[in-house]
Amino acid sequence: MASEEEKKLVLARLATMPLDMELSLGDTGSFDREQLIHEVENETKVGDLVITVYMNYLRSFKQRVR
Amino acid sequence: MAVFLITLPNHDDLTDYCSKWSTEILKTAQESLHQTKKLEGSEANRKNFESKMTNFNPSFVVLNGHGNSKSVTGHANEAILSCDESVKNERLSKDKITYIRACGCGSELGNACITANCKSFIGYKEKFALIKSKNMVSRPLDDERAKPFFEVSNQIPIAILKGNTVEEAVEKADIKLEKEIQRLMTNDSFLASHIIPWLLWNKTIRVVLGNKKATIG
Repeated sequence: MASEEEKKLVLARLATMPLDMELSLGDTGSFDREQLIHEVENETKVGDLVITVYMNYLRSFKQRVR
Repeated sequence: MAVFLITLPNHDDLTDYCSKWSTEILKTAQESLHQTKKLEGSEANRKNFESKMTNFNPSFVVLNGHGNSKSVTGHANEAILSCDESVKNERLSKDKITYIRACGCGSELGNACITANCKSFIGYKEKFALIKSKNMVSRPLDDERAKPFFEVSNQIPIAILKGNTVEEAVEKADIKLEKEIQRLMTNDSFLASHIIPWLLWNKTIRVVLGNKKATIG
């Protein structure tokens, strides 16, 4: 389960997502910015996945710039 | 010259994207002089799939569609290759290289295919992610946000069609991934921060089973 800090960080990132961009996750559906924010705030499976993916990216980004 | 089979369902936005972006794969198959069998749109059903697999015995199969841990679907989400008891036709993958661009198949279905003597299986064990633009559904090939997802994943079947081993094909996809990451970060780091995480996710969930040295020949 993500920490509150991770959740806040990801929500801040999602707030910058362009309005016309969406994430498709197969037959789970397509999610735009507002929908992803809702998923993360409500700690759904999709929300947890979004946090995991963004946090993994941030960690790997840190490695890349070292 | 080998026989190559590809499914191209297009009944919803996502399958339409996958099928339209498979154009490069088809072009490579033609240029490499392989005999290509396509199941497009409503033709991508189980009956046709099983018939083509049995009658033409392709050595390389690419399946676009939706999926879960046990099945990949074709038109209207009908399971066309599945280890679920209701279908149980994974034996059709025997001696073939099978690439499934769908969610989840890399887990149970992949293992079932290998047990059924599939030569090599490449798939994804979780949800395959795609970033796209809401206003591009009628023109998927113009969607610059979706482009990296397909240019990376297409490398696998393209390299296999050109005679590379499965292992080499996956390496080429990873090289393409790195190039796309660099390109995105250089051109638009803001947009990159929303696209790259999901490109990396697709690599994380990718599975390669069976003989990694397998080739289409």
